[in-house]
Amino acid sequence: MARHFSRPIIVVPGKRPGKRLMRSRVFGRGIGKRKKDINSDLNLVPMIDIFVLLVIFLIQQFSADGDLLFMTDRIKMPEAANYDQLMRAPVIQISPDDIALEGQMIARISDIEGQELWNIPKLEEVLRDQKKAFETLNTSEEFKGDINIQADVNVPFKVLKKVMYSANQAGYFNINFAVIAAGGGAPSEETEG
Amino acid sequence: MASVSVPGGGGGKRKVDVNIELVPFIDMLAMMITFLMMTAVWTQLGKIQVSQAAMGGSESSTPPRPTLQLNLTVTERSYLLLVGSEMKEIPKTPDGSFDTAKLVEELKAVKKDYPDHRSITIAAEDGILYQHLVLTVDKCIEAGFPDVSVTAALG
Repeated sequence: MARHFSRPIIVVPGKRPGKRLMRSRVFGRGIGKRKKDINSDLNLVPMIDIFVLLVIFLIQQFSADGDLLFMTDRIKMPEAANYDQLMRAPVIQISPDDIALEGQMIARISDIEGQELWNIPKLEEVLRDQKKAFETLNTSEEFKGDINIQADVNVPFKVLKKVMYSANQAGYFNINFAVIAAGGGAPSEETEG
Repeated sequence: MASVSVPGGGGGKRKVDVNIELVPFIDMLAMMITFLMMTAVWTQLGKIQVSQAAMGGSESSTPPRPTLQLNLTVTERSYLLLVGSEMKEIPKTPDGSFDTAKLVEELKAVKKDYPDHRSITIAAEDGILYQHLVLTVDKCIEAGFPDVSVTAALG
């Protein structure tokens, strides 16, 4: 009776080789063994490593300098290797077509080039107003007279000198030419101080 | 998922294996990467500080100290370097670009003779393009003259 119950009641279909064949090293390979579990964990550790490296790299690249200027396709800035760090100051944009102060259109290049005047009256007036507003609002802080010029590479000096002269007349004596850092070098120490 | 297996859980006691939930961490990293990529500035900006040279005479009451007069005129054809009373012309290269290598060489020679001198006045003609002016100022700073004044060339 005991022998009778040791046999399985439900027989699963499939290969059922003899016991001797199952024990055989050659023919018994893979028979009678359980299949591998197809549920496998994804190894996320390398992905997280890469993510962390990316985040560190991007944080190192993070810079607020881009907010200091209004980057536009119309103005292609020149490159320079010996530069200083750009600071916040009013920005005069000189494109091949027009001149703008902080995004506000001031004059057209075609109108200025024909004039014999050394300055640009409207630019000078707006800069004077800005200076006055700064001095009224910031009584404790001294007016430094910094101004950033963001000009296109093909702007002639004839236009540039009028802009510089107007800035000078309005009380902005520290004129900064905005440039793109060439060669990825560090800011020049020569220009500091 | 990542798990930490701590030995000592035998004898029918509760399992002490801990699963660390990495999904929120990955979410946070993905958001950070997205934000940083969007706000990244790939072009590094800088400034070159210049001053405008006075066109008239000095108004200060104290007499100026005798210093080296170092002027560089940028014309359509060449650089004209005036060191004291000596004028040197550095013509453009055959391909039509300014010979900045020669300019730096000349300026470094001046710097060697006058190591304390830091200022230079650059006068440009009306037709000179902004990129050439910036290039010239850049080379002057490279040669050791960081106090650059810019003015219009006379004549």
